[in-house]
Parts: sequence; C-alpha cells; structure tokens
Amino acid sequence: MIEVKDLSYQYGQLKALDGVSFSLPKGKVVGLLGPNGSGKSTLCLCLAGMLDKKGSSGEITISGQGLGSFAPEELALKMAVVFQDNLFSFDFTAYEIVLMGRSPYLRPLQPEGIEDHQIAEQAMHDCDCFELKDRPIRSLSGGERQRVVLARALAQTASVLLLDEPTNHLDLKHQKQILLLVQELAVTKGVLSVVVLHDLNLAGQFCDHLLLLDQGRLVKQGTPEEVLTPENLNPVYQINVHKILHPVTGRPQIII
Amino acid sequence: MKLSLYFISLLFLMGCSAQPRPQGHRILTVTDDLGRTVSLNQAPSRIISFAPSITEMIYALGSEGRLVGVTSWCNWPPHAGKKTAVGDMISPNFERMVSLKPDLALMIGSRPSPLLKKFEALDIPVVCFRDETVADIQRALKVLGLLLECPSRADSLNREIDLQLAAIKAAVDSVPLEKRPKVFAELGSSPLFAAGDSSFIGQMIALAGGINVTGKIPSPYAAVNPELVAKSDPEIIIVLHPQAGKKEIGQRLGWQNISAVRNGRIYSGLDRDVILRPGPRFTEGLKILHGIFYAP
Amino acid sequence: MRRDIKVWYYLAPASLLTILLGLASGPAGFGLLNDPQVMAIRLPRVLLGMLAGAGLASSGAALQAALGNPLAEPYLLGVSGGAAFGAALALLLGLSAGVSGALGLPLFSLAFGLLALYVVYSLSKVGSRLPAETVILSGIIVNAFFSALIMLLLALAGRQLQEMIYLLMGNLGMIFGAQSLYLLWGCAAIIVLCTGYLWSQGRNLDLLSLGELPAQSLGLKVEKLKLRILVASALMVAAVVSLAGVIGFVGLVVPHLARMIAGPKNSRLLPLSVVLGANLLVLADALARTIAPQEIPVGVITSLLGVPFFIYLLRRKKRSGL
Repeated sequence: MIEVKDLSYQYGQLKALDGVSFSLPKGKVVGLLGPNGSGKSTLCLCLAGMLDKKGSSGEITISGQGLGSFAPEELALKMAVVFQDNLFSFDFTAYEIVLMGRSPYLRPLQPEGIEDHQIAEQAMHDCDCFELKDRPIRSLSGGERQRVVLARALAQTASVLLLDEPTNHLDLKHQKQILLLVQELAVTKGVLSVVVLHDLNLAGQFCDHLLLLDQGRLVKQGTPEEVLTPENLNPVYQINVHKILHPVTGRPQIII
Repeated sequence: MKLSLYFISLLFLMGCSAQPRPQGHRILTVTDDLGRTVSLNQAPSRIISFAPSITEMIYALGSEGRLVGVTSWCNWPPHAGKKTAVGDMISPNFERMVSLKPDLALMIGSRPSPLLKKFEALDIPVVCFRDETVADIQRALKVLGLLLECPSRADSLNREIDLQLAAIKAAVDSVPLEKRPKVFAELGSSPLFAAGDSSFIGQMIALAGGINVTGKIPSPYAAVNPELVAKSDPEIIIVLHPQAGKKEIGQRLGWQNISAVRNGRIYSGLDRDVILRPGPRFTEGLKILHGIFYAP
Repeated sequence: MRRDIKVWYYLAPASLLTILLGLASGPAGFGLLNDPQVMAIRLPRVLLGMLAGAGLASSGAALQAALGNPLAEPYLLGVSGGAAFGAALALLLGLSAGVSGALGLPLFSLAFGLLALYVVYSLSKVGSRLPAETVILSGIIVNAFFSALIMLLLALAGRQLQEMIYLLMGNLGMIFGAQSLYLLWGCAAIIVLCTGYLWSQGRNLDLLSLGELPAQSLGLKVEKLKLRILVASALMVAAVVSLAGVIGFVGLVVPHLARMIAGPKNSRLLPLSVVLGANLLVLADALARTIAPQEIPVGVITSLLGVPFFIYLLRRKKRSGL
C-alpha cells in the first residue's frame, strides 16, 4: 500500500535520510525503530507529505499514486497523523478536538452530522477518553491529551495511520490499550499503521513488521524475530542487549 | 480716508527709517504679555519673528530692515519670504536661528514656549505677545513701536485701527440683536471644526455683527457634532479651510434645510490670512466679514 | 461556560436597544427627535459605528485564530499605520478639495493601508510560507515606520494639527454627503463580504489552533488560508480606518469577551464578536456624544474603558490558572 523507493532527505547540510526503500501492505502494524537522530521522525513527516519537496529525492507512493500528487484535502481522507508535540492555542473541549478529525469529510459551512458524532464518540471510547469529553484541552495532563489526539486521528477513519511516538506520555495500561487498538484496526479494517516507537519491547509485542533505522539508513527490516536480535541492535544502539522470549506470546523481548 | 493715511505714513516713514538710528547707550525696557520684563541695551537690529502676525506688524511699522529671520508661514508682504526661514515654534530650526546672531526674538502664545528657555539660556532677549484679542494686537503694535524706535508710527497705526473699528461698530450697533445673522464658521471638515466666542475668529464674527452659532463651546476651538450646526440653523456659513466647497456642504446629509444652504449663502475661497490672523490687517478681514454678513 | 442559543436570545433585543440608544444620543437632545435633519445625521453615524465595531472585532478574532495568538489584534498588520498616514497626508495636502474631496481622504487612506499590507506580506514571506512570528514582526516594523511618518506630518501640520489628532484617535464624526455616502456602502460591502468569508472558514480556523502541521494533516492548505485571512482582515481594517481613524482596543478585547461567553469555536465566535463589537462601539460613541458638546473621539472612550476591562480579563485568567 505504501511504497518507498530510495528516499533521501536533506536538512541543509545534514542528511537525515539516505536511500531508504521499503514496501508496506495494508492491514499491518509497522514499527519504526532506531536511536535518536536515526531519522524516524523525518521519515514519518516525509510519509505524511509534510516536508518540503526541495530537500527530498526518491519517491513515495500510496496505493500506487505518488504522494506529491495528493492535494492536502485528498491526503487527509487517506492518512491520519499523530505528531509528537501537540500545542493548543485555544481552549477547545476534548470532544471538539476529536470532532475536528471529521473535517476532511465536511464542506466549509456544513455542520457535523449524526454519523460524524457517532464516529467521534466511538473513537473516544476506543481511546478511553470519553469521560474527558467536556474538559478544556489545556487542562488535561500529557497522557490525557495524547489519548484525545489519538481519538481525533481515529475519527478521521483513514486507511493509513502515522503515529509518532504515541505511547510517550501514556501509562502502561494505556500503552497496551492503544497498541491493541491499532492491531485490531489492522485486522478488522485493514488499516496500515506506521508507529514510531522508542520501546523495543512494545514493538516486538505488537508489530507485524519492523523497520530499523540508523543514521538515516534502513539497516534492517522484517518480522520482530528477524529484526530484534543482538546482532542487529548492538551496533545501532551501541549497547549490548540480550533477547528473551515473552512467556505468554513468544514474541522477542529485549533486555539490557 | 486712504489718501490721508498714505500721507501720514509718508511723514512717519521719514521718522522711522529702515536703518537703525545711531545712538549711545539707551536702555529700552518693556514688559511683555507674559509679565516678563525685558531690557535691551540698544534698539534691536537683528530680529527673529516667530509668528506671521508679528512679521506683518514689523513690516507695517516700516522696520523690516531690522528683521533677519521669519517662520516658514510668514507670507505677507509677499517679499517677506526672502528673509531667512527658521522653521516655527513647533519645529524650530535652532541652528539656523542661532547662526543669524539675533539680538531679539519675538514670540506669541499665552504660555511660555520651550523655545523661550533655549533663547534665555543663550542670553538672547525674548518678548512674548498674546494674540487672542483685538486689544492684544493693538498692545503688540505699541510695544513693537517702542522696541523698534517708531512709537509714533505705531500710534498712528493704532489710531487707524480705532477709526476702522469705530466705523464698523457704528454700522453693527444700528442693527438690533435679533436681526443680526447667525453665522457658522467652519475651520475644518474632518472632523467638523468650529470656533467659540473666546477665539479670535469668534471675536471677529461678533465685531462684524454676526452671531456665532458655535459660540458657547467651552474651548476656543473644538470639533463639533454636525447636528449642532443643523439645529442652530445658521443663515451664513463661512468656510475657512480648503477641504470643502459650497457644493459639498450643500450635499451634506441633514443640512439641506439649513437656511444658509437653502439660500446659497455659503462663502468659501476667502482670504484666511486677514480673517484668521491676529495681525495688523485684521480690519480688512472685518470688512470682508461685515460685507458678507450684511450683503444686500 | 458556554450558553449557545440563550446568548442570541439576549443579544437580539440588546442590539435593537443599542441602535435606538445610538440614534437617540447627541448634543441636539436626547431621544428620537422629531427633527428629520438631526436623524439624517445620526443614522449614518450609528451605521458607521456598527460597521467599524463589527469589522474590527471580526478582524481581531480571525487574526487571533490565524496567528495562533490570543494577543493578536487588527492593528498588528501595519495596515492601520498605513491607512492613518494616508488620511493624514490627504489632510495636509488639502486633497479633500472639490467634489472628489469627500472621497479623497478615505480613498487615499485605503490605498496606503493596502500598500502597508503588501509591504508586510513581502517582508514576512519565507519561501512559500508566512510564519506567524515574521508576520507579527513585520507588522510592528511597518507600523513603526508609518508612525514616524505621521509624526513628521504632525510637525508640518500647522493649522490642521487638531484635525489630524482627531483622525489618529479614532472618531465616528465623519460628515456624510450624498457622494461620500457611497463610501459608507463600500465599507459595508467590504465588511459584510470579508466577515462572511471568515465565517465560512470557521472550521478551518479551528483547525489552525491545533498547530500548522496537524491542521495540514487534516486537509487544510495552511499557507493559503493564512494569506486569505490576513488579506480579509487587512481589507476590513483599511476600510474602517479610512472612515473612522484608529479606534483602539475593540479588535483585541471584543474577541476575548466573546470567547469567554461562547468558547473558541470560530463558527460561534465570529458572529458573536461581530455583534458584540458593533454594539459596544455604538454604545461607546453614544456615550462620547452625550457627555460633552464637543466631539470626543470614540477611540478615547474605547481605550479608557478598554484598559480596566482588560485588567479584569487578565485577573480572571490568572485566577483560573491558565
């Protein structure tokens, strides 16, 4: 569904991505891994079409259509993005924020319909933030805001989800909840989720496919079993790791 | 009347020469309108005038030879512009003033201006005149006559003014108050600017036998609401600014029923320098106004 | 606290009352006088007050959303400086003479206002983007430049000094003649069209509050929208300043007040700001016309009342800890 061929991106002198190529089918959960500065966020922004065409070379296609050929309003129907930093200039309620996820489907003066409200409410339930719906967004904690923003992305009912470190502020319970949700969306609705993760074990537990980046280059891609090995991870993270298997799921888990 | 005026002026021209009279140590002392006592060792020969009205007075007294600096607004007589322009009291060109080496500065105003302190710091004598009433004009002429060593010339100018005032007064007094025309003097149109009775133009209107419809405003000049003018229904409108003419005023919303508009008695294009300026020619302005107010 | 429909129930009769108060106030006597001449003078004035209040308030609300800054206000864009300078220049040059005279001053003002907008746009462009910080900075610079020019004009003014000062303080006392009434209609058209456009973009303005990248991910052409908002706001400001001078505080305070009542959602905020702005300015002008026989510039009233109100808003914000 997403094809990336030889993608490079340059910020001035700094080469953030160097010849990255991969292919992602729909209905999968894909983890984007790598230490700080490896280019994870840059890759995420490139996939979202947010970066200047000037600095990039290579091509990205979504369902066969070049990323650059999408107008923002068309892309918004296909792809939902959750960014790392979320700053709110004004005090909308959490529900109003989630409802904004429906705007790609609405014409300028068209008010939200019953279906839009249902989708928004369901998204909030799925992200366990429905009880926050009338609270002003700026009065919420980091984790609560994160869940609201995720709900907004879900409300967009897109076929691709780009999540840049969505579990950062969340407690354990919510971390598991979100990733389970992403898995479920992949299975039931064929949603392709690309999730930037710091936590290797979450990646191992919940992802179908992993992309390991190091200094802008894609050093390894494959299943968690293939990617999460000391041979791959030690040179990238510059630390000696050990692999064990999760007692229940059998998925690879990394300990230092 | 005019012929005798010329004859008298001629006689006094001889007495009030253009060149300063050679003299010994004479001390001239005057008290100016701000209550300051100013003493000069000799008659001034390098004067800076800070007001067009003062400049006109100096020329009228035949003493333009003593004048070295004028403001950029001094436009009468027409050749007054040949004197060095030194800016004016609000934006003075101090360097140029000082470079002229003046021995006397003449200013106007009812309060001391910041410029005053600067000149005092340089030990240049300053004489300040008020310019709000007719009496101020006549007193200024008298004081200038003393300073410029032609008191008799000043006196004759003042006598001439008295005569002209008396003539107009006689004409005006013969008209009972109810029959005097209501006048609106417009000084500006964005916003609408008018004058009260205490302003100079207010006094001119009264002397010329008009009733100023905006007379009762609390300050000499103020912006007024156009509905006040509409309600007071002036018979005459005199336009003392270039921004509106007869046609525009006639088209103003809500003014169609004003007598002045209905009867077309809107007067513009007047010589503002003789009507608004408290200088020696103000009697000409009075005559113009009187002529407008009592046109047959 | 958001009370949706109830607010409008109060606002409709309140607006009517304000209009009547506006028509009833003036030095000729309080009340809806039987004198059609006085009414013919008051009616356009009340209309101008409503337009100016509406234009400034909606411009302020839209700018606050577009720049993501609740302290933004219409005069940030440098347009007010340019427009005020244009008017002062027309006054000094006596450009208002003749039949075109009544049109001369406002048209000159409008032209310089739009020129200022163009300069701000050119200065603040970074590639194809209009970053909020550079827009604000450029606006401040352009305003400062025109302020300096205005001071130069004041020094050269002489006789027109007082008129220029009234212009700069903001006053609704413009005299309308048959010709210049077209300017009022022109101003009304600009304000109605621009406000209508801004209202239609209400949802997009909401999206902008999420940040530029999230807004783009939701389908918004961010830079295009920002530019259009800036232009619409600037047009309204130029129109208002050309007819009424620089009236302060309305563009900053009214959107805050409206936000306190109706919340930040722009589809509600904009109409409420418009109505509040129109009402408040008409009331301020009614007050200005009643307290003294001379014209007191309405900008003085809005500033005098605006400051304590702003302090009150600030204290409320501090108490609620935001």
